[in-house]
Amino acid sequence: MWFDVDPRSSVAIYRQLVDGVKEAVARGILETGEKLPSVRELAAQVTINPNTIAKAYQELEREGIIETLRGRGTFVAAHKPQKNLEEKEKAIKSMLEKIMVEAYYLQLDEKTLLALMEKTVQNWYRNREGV
Amino acid sequence: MQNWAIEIQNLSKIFGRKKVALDDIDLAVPEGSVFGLMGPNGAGKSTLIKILMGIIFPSSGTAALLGRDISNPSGELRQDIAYVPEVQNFYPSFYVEDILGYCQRVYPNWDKKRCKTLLKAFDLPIEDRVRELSKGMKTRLAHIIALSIRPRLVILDEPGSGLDAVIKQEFMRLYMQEAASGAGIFFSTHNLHELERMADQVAVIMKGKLLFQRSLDEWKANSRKIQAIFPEGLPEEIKDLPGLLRVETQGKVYSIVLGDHFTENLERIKALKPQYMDTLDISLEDLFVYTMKKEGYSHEIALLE
Repeated sequence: MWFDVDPRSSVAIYRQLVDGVKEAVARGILETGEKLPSVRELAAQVTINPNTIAKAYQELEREGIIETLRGRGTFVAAHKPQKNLEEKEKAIKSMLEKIMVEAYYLQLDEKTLLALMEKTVQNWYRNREGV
Repeated sequence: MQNWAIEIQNLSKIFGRKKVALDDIDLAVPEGSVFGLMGPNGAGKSTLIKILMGIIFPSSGTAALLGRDISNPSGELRQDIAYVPEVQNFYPSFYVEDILGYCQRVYPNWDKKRCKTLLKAFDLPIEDRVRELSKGMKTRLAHIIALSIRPRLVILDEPGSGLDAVIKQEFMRLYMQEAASGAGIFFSTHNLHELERMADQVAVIMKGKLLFQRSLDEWKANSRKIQAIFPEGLPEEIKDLPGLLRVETQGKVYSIVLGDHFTENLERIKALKPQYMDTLDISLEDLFVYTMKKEGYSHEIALLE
């Protein structure tokens, strides 16, 4: 399965599904044009509330990750360059700032944090090539 | 207008002269919702369900299922409502096929094909008498009937009890499929992992009173455990945080358990300048336990001798 939910996490299950699909697409596990199970199929497959799954699909559609073709089903959408570079940088910057706040309270110093980021980024691209 | 699968207003039940089993319950289950009812033993969950099913009568108040008042004695009221009680009460001398034949006559949307598929999948011996069936087999039979009537509303009292893990999961999957087709599901449970996957809304009752009803996502999003170090001791302000469930102390580390208003509380705690602070996820199980303890239901005992 390209995602699993952790009921112990305080992240809402629909959010876990959204993140799971986004990650699977980013990692190349789910490819453009690939068909996703219907809400009904997925609800039965993973024993999860169908409203939760529908909510996750709606969010993914809103973000342009998936698209629903009426009568045919739900598919992984083609990547669209929707935002300009400046906006993208702004979005990532604000996420990094949240990490900085966490790092402050975890008392991670600048060097450790930078090393960790570098390693994480490198590993990510290495793994993605491997797919 | 919002349609309610279940609508309960000012419902009370008093057994005998003064044993209050349910105290002024108001509850509204939206159509198509999977609604989980939580509460400690003896909270009144089964009493509430039995009233909805017309097995016992309320002392006061009203309730409606799919918009039909439960006080209406007509059989049509529950012809598309499935009910699986905690303990099965089929007539012991009936054969399984007789029970199914009876159901077929009573329920207008009875799905013979579906019933046959389910009987086979769950190995039900239809030539046996009910008294020859094990507890688990009786429970399987009740679930098979519930699914075969093509219900618009399913009411389950502790649906997992008496079933092994494999069979239980299969039935729960089938109920999720029913929910995806638009059926409302209302169930009581002590299994919070199960509840967390299946429910979109939850209600907690205790000692016959409704503590709250809310969206599960929203409840979880607003709950967290915050660990903080205050070298000078716990600031007074912490005790006034809205939604505070509990503060635990281990040395100078305080664990602040929040059942509501997480984001707002986080800012408030930051403003108190803790020496160190960390936010931890909290499982629904812990959240339930902390909520119960706050309400005075704890049963904590010191080490046993």
